[in-house]
Amino acid sequence: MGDFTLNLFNPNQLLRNINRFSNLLFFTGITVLTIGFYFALIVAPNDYQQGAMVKIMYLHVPSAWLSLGIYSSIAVMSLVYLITKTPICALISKSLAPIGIIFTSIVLISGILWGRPMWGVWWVWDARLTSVLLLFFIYLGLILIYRMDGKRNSYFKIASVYALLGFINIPIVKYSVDWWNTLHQPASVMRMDGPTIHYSMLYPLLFVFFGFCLISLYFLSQALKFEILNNKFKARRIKEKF
Amino acid sequence: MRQFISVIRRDLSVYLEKKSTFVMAIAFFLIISALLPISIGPNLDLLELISPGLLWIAFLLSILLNISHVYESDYRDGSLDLLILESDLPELMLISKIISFWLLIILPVIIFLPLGGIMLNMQPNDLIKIIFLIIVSSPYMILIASIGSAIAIKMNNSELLVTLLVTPFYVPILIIGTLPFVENDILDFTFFRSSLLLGAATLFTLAIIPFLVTYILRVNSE
Repeated sequence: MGDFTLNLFNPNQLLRNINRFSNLLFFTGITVLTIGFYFALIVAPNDYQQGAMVKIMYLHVPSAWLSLGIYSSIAVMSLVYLITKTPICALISKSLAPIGIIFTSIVLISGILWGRPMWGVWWVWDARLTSVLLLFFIYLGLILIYRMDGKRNSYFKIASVYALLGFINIPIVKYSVDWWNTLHQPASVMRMDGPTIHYSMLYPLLFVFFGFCLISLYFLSQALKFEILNNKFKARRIKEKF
Repeated sequence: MRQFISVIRRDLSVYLEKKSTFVMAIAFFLIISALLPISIGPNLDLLELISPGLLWIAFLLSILLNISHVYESDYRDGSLDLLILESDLPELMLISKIISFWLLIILPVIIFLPLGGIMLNMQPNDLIKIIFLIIVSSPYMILIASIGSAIAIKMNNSELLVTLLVTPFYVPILIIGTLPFVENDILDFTFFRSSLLLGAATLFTLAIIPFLVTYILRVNSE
């Protein structure tokens, strides 16, 4: 196991694996997403109250899961980076941050579009919506710190500290609907006592979620490839200078 | 301890030498609390309803836009390395710098809070409560802002970046600080409860943030 993880974090090995599997990842992701959206938009039934508006759920909910999941993996990677000083961990969280902010903006925008017909308002300042907006700002700050190009990657440490600070927000986002009375409905899939959503809606949801996961893995692999090659290039240029 | 007091005395003399810093802070605060009612229009009842939030925002902005005085000028002339990073107890030096910042930039603004409250048509009863809450939570706000200031220390005009970085951490304070003054039936938030919570937040950050900021400054000066 230890050997395996070491190999996984070895940049050359990682590059080789990315080159080998990224096409597979991309096409599997696209296929799963197509199946998911086909079931979601055509096969799955309309809601008896919301009508066809319920279809926004198949975009909104998986992106929400992913925006939380990606932030959690950024936090884990930052912790690992601060403890072990393995640069690849910082590179992974650097490449994950833009993907996370994309999913967070999808959640916010689809939520706004969904809220208008369902609740009668575009936006309410309740706990869930506010904490997701804060998640967006934390992602933005994180990306800005990563973008400050410091020497010897000194900003990686600072960004990791900031990412860990921002992790306080994640449980608040997750449990805000249970802790406070909000306009946003409580969780209906990821519950301790099993999902309360009908399986005809659950399966398309899961398909779209896994499709998004694969696609974001693909994006992650491409961004990581760029970062690794960029660092190698920088290192070679420094070598040539001396 | 002697080091601690000497750092405070040195900072106070630096601040007092250029008096414009705290005059600017007060003027900025008063300008904001004069502009907000103008932008809302001549409806005094509405203004009274939203004045606690406006006062919080005015105070918050005057902290955020002045936070660069804590480290940045010292970082520019190189004395920060000697004061904080070379000392035996960098965290203590950091707290002393924050205390002197509080004494000479924030305390004058707090003294002028009643004037801002009058401009915003606040009831005297609410005004006393909100000044108490602001005093209790001002160390929290300064410490959090100092994280952003430490992160962005190498940049010019870092105020905007600092604002973006630390805003998420101010939202809980704003919520807790304004809930006693608005009609809320969801959370039964009394003045007592929110002052306890703000005090807890201040003590918590006081215990943790100095170590974080020292770490960030160390990484930045490598």
